[in-house]
Amino acid sequence: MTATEAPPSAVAPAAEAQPAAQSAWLYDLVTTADHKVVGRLYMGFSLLFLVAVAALGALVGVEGFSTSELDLFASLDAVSQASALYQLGLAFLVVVPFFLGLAIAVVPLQLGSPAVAFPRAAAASFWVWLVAGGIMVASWAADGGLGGTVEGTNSDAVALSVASLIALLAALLLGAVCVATSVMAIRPAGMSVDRVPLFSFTSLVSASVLLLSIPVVVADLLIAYVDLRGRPPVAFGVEDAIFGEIRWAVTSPQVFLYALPALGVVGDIVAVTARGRQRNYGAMLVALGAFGFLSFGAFAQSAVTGAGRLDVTEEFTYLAFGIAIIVPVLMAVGGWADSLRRGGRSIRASVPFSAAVVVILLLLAAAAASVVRSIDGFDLVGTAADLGVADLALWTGVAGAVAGFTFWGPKLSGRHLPAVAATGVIGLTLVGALLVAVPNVVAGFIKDVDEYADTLDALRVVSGIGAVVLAVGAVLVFTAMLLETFGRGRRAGDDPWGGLTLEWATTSPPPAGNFAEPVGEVASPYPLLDQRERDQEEGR
Amino acid sequence: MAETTESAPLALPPVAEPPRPRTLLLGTAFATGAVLMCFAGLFGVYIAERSAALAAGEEWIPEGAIQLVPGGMMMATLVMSVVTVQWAVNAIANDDRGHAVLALVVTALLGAAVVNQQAFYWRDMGLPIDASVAALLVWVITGAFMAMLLAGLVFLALVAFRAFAGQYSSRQADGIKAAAIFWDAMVLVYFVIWYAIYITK
Repeated sequence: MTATEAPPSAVAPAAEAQPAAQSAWLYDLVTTADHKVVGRLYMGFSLLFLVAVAALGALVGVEGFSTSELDLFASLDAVSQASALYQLGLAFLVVVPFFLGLAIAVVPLQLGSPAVAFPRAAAASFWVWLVAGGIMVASWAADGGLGGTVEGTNSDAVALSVASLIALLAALLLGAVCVATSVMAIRPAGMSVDRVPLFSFTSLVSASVLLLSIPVVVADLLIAYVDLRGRPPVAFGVEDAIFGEIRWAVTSPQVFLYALPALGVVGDIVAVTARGRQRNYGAMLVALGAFGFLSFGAFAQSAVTGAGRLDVTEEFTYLAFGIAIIVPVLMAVGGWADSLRRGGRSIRASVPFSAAVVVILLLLAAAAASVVRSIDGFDLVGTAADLGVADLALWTGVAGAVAGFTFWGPKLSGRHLPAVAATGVIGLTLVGALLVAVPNVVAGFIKDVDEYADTLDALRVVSGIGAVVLAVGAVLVFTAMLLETFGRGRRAGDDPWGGLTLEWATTSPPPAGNFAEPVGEVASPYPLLDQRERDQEEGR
Repeated sequence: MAETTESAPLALPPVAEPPRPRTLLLGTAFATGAVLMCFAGLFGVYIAERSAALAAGEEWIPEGAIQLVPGGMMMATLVMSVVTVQWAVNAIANDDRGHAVLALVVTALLGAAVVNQQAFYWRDMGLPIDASVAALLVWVITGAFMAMLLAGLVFLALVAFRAFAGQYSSRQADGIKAAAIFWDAMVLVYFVIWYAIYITK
């Protein structure tokens, strides 16, 4: 046993099990290195943060109904801080950690592995993320939010916000190392990287690009923190400036990275729905890899491109990235459409498939909005359109999270999500995301604020309604998760969808070690489909 | 007709063992890449701020604030440590555990010497942290470098103890190789600091 493996659980004698069982579950939960438990913890708490973030977005949206006075917040400064927390929270408290948790739980199963790489590190990643996230939210509540002004914030609380955000990002990076290493190092015989299931592949690509881009955010925050603690701040630690220095992490093109795993989720769901292989698998991998490449946004960090320096938002590369992102999206959507067309009458619609359709629609909207934003003549960069594109990309990620949750939830917990709640969430996410984001993109075209004041007010109202719709959806999905976790959902079989990849070859939920027998050599990305076809051949 | 004798069928070669997963090496490579990108972000800010200041005709680092010699000594020490850590990798590849441990200890001692040199450099530097943007960035970058150096020393210490306990061999040398990868990356970071900050100023 090496330091990278968790020790096997000791089986307690039956006579001692009963009295210790009730107090042991918390100890087991805190000390577990079981990747399935760690993954579910990540997903569960991400959904809890989703409720809080969506509620905050709804409050900011409703506050925007009236611009003449403040109804819900004490000051404009508080509105700015809340808006910054909404953007950062949606990315780093919801979408990124949810997909990280899903990858930690599912990727080892797809790879036929008994565990994730560095299981204790994955567990440590979750607990550090959770504590840092809690501290970050608390410091925001203590007037320490980024996005505020010097007069409107508590400097010590701002320093705590920055420090907790650094810790939170470091925890996510640690989790990304575990996922990327798992895909690269722990594969069964015959499974080369181009035979890895699509969700595992997108997890590898997104983890790799996260490891290249998020450290740059950490660098910016480090400079801001050191400056903030040396009174008075020289430049970077001035409270007005900090959010501006890291805003690139939640705007295009970087924000598309957080939605990348959703494409992998859709790819696996579509293949199962169509009951057949994804044709031109290599081209699909190239498209997903290109999407990841075009999502690398660290070159646009504000500290390098700020006032008086190179304005990267006017550079060809930046604009080209924003436009080119639609190419891999169209390639992927075309590939999925081809799979479904060939599936024909054997297609079985399901809740995960409905969620996948919503992901595709939102993804197309996000890519189209990015193209429009990047067209030089429209002059939309630096306007409300930035927020519109970011919202579409992030809520695409949330929809992908719902799709993944409904697809693999039965495998991990042995129970289906309540179908009504899941369907409601899917519909609300689609409607809410479009209502929130599209008005912001349209508002970006309005340059004469005074002449079109009424139009802007109407757009703000529509966007606010969308935020409320999303908040309702968030509460629904969290409730569905609780019901599924505590055993209220319909019991699921080992393979409820007719799966094609290795995770469906084990029980639901999987046993310790994931598979009863070692996984043999695989010859394609769809080992179970290969096995079925072999069985049919032999049966003839 | 001559009697034919049946010969035993040729034995197939034994099935090759599946390659051992290089988990620790890959994980270290990913983590090291992330750390290097963090420094890339720091250097990006430093270079952008320096360029803007010089273009505006301002002084970046005051004359005489940073001496050349201590920085050069640190660079020479770290170059030596690259040799010794590679010595450790080569020694364990030849199943020479004794020399592998010795090389790791020498590398750690050289690293500790660099810590001492950096502490002296900080005392000697005529740049209070809040004096200017340049001072702030120099302190942040050198401080981050120290953190990376200390992490490298901890990694080396862990690996040295394990090597001493006999856990590494020519067939199982990933721990030492992983420590060497991280150490080499740390030296690369210092090289950029040495050139971009101490020499170019």
